[in-house]
Amino acid sequence: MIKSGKDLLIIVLAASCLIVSLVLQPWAELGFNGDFPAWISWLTGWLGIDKFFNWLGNCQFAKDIQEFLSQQGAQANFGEYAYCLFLFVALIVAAIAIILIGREESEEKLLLPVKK
Amino acid sequence: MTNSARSSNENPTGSAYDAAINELNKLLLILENVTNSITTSKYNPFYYHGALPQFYLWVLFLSGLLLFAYYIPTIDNAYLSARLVNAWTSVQYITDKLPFGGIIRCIHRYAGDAMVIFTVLHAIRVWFTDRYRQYRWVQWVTGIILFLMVLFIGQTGYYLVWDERSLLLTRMTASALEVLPIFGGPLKTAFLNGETITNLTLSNFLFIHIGLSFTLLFVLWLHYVRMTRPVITPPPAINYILVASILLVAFMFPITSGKMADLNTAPTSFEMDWFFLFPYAFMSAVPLVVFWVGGVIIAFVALVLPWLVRNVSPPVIPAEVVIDKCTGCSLCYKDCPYQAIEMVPAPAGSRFKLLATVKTARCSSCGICVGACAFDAIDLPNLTDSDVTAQIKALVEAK
Amino acid sequence: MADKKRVITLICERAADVNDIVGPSGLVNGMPELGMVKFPCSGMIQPLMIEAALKAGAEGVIVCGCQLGDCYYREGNKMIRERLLGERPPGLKKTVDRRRVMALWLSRLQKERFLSESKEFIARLGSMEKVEAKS
Repeated sequence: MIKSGKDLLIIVLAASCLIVSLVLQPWAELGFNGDFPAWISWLTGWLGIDKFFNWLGNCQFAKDIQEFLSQQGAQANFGEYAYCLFLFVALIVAAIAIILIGREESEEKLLLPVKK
Repeated sequence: MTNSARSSNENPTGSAYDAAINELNKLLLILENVTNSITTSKYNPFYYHGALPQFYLWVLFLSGLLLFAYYIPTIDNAYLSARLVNAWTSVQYITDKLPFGGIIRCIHRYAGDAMVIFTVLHAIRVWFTDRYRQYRWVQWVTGIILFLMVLFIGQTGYYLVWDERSLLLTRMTASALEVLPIFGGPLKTAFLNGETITNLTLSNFLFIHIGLSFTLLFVLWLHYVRMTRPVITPPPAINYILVASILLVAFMFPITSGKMADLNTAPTSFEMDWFFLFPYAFMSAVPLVVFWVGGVIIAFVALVLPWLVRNVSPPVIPAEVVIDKCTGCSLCYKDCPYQAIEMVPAPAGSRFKLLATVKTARCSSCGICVGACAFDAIDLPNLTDSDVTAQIKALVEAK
Repeated sequence: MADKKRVITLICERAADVNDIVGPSGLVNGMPELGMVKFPCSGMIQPLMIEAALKAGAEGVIVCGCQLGDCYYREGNKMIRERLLGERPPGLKKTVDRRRVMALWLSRLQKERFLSESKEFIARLGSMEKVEAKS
């Protein structure tokens, strides 16, 4: 299935798109922490997503985002603006992957199919 | 050769304007080639330049609908109570309290800016590639009207927020309208929906903002009506990038409202939005008479640009139907990119039901109808089917 | 029939800019096996014209239009592309040898690409001829 570096790149892009939209977007939407009462039990149980989110929230990364936003004049809902950033990343990554796949269909030279 | 008349448009007549447009067109071609080498023609945004502002229009309609649900068009600002409800506080509520309200507001604002940018780029491309004159004048003129409408809609959007900038802009507009002769007074009254700024003023602004936005759809119909199969949707990958770029700007520059407008104060300066509010910069820099005369002249020149420029390419010589060969199969009618062919009932005594006729004012003499006709029944007068076949024969046999 | 076989190019005058390499007779300077017929738009090319060229003794036909998506007349290159592929009437007759037809979609600046592709095409037709002559 993986025939070239391009195929590998597409898979990496697809995976990073999934990670950003399944992990970073919900984390930002919840306000950089995992204290969300309505978690499905297996998410907090053996996946431990709440602990992971709380750990992420204490990273320098989360603090940098919030500091940047307050410098830019945002007054509330920092998580929602960060959500925008992550959605931006997911969309751009998806678009690059789609273009990489779709550009094969584009043509500058057309040879007519020969019917037997 | 019949070709020589046509190929003259690659060697323009030599005026400085033609030379400049030719160079700018070449510059665009270089840019497009670079983009093609990255994205290929399938995803080249240059080839969807008209569809980009159209896509942002849908974004604006959707985000605007969400804002409209919570917006309250009143100006009560007497500080009567702590639970003050007016336009400004409703916008504050949307921005700070409503889940993702601030984001939707950012998207609505920046999608508007992006629409102006892409509309201007769209106009520049059709100008430099000489795709706005002759049989395309309807698209150019409606395009200029659409652009003016978009500007005014955007400005009313700035009034609606009802911060100090809104108040100043409203007063500037009212005093600018007032100086117009004869109907200046009535226009000002219509604009403010009364003699002074009241609650009715803001509901009028909301009506203009939304009503004019829907009127855009009507003018867009005129914009598209002479084109068969207009390209109005970019491919999904480009749409993703268009949405993503707005989200990035929303993250980088979250919107903050100014102070609430107070009718008893007189704000004198505001933060500039160069995409929508540049007419106000012009207005404050020159006397109002100069503003109006200059504005009308600029708009007028833009509207008649297709007729000011004449000699870049030769006049269009419309296609002609060979009446006794036409079978009324309507293939040319389906393929004509400018809806310049109409199928009419065939004259009495004909073996066929329909006959193709050319609407000469719409014809671009591109010859696509010639390519669509399997019966040699439609011809370009300066390059007929038999000319082409003769040229091909001569080339095959040439020594 | 002439001993030297010829390839006919039906080209849009806004596609690859070949004005400076085509002689007054319509043959490419230095490449006498390549002839050019210019059209206002590649959409004007009718499959019958391709058949006419092959019937008159041309070895092959190259159709050249602008980059797909960038037709000055909006849809011309898409139309001829679909006609060549048989997706839009009128199409090529079944008897036409599909191997002898090639289409290129090149912008004004891609003259070099046009020349290299057509050289390759002519060489391919030449080797095809040899194989057929043997059998």
